[in-house]
Amino acid sequence: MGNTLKSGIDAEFINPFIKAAKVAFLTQASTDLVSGTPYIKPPDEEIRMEVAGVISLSNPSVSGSISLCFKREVFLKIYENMVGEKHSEISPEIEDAAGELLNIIFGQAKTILNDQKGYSLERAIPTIVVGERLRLKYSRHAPVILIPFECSAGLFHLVVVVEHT
Amino acid sequence: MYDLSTQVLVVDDMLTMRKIMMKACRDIGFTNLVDAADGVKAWEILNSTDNNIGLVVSDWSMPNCTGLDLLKRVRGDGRFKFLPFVLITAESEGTQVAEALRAGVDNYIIKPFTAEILRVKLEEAQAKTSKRAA
Repeated sequence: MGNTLKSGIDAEFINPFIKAAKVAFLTQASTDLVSGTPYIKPPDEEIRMEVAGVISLSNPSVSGSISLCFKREVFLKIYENMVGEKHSEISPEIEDAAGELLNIIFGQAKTILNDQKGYSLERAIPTIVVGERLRLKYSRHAPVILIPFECSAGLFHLVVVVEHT
Repeated sequence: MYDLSTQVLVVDDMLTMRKIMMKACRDIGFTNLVDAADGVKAWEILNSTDNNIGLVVSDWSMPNCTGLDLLKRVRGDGRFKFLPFVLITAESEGTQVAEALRAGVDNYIIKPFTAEILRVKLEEAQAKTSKRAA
């Protein structure tokens, strides 16, 4: 299963998430996204983030996680685009937007992967992580794939860590 | 189209999505909105004599009482047999749509959605409800 590029990235698995992210942001947050080239995170590269939505994958076909990671200022601008409210800090009142956006992306990508690519991904509930100098730790067994997205609010990342079982 | 004075119950456990749903309802022209963070609270509101809910727009995935659980409870009560009920979800798998249809949903919206999509789906739901009631 999968169409693995020279980079080691499974394009067949990744592309539905890129497509879903563009649709989700444009429709739900009136935000146009330009996706950069996905790459495997070098061990010494850290992406700055203050809020992230995380979905864990654990089922017969794959295990791993999908994370949507934002810097504070980028998240606040996207939230404003989504809801029409301006906030100066990431508060409990607004942080669930990171999970909601990821939930929409995952739902769309899951449908494509299950219906067209033969996966059996199950419904998953996002967790929201908030903090200064946030770092997400991943399994050493699977590559950490960073998908950069640029928009009017700035740069943010979708992080895909997946092991095919 | 609905009478825009219809009281609309918006149900979602995620505050951000509840705000988006409420904003979309206001953009359509509804002015009388009530919201709930889960199906349990929504059921209380439906049963409260302070309210006269004429349309329910509910998320599917919620803790305690899901949108589908709420729908089944609503359809199981004769008072709400013809209450228009629209489910919103991030999922679009056929088995889930079929489950919602069996439970008596009037329409089904896949996220992401715009106010225009919501308007069209609500009109379809109204037509279906009218047909059921005829």
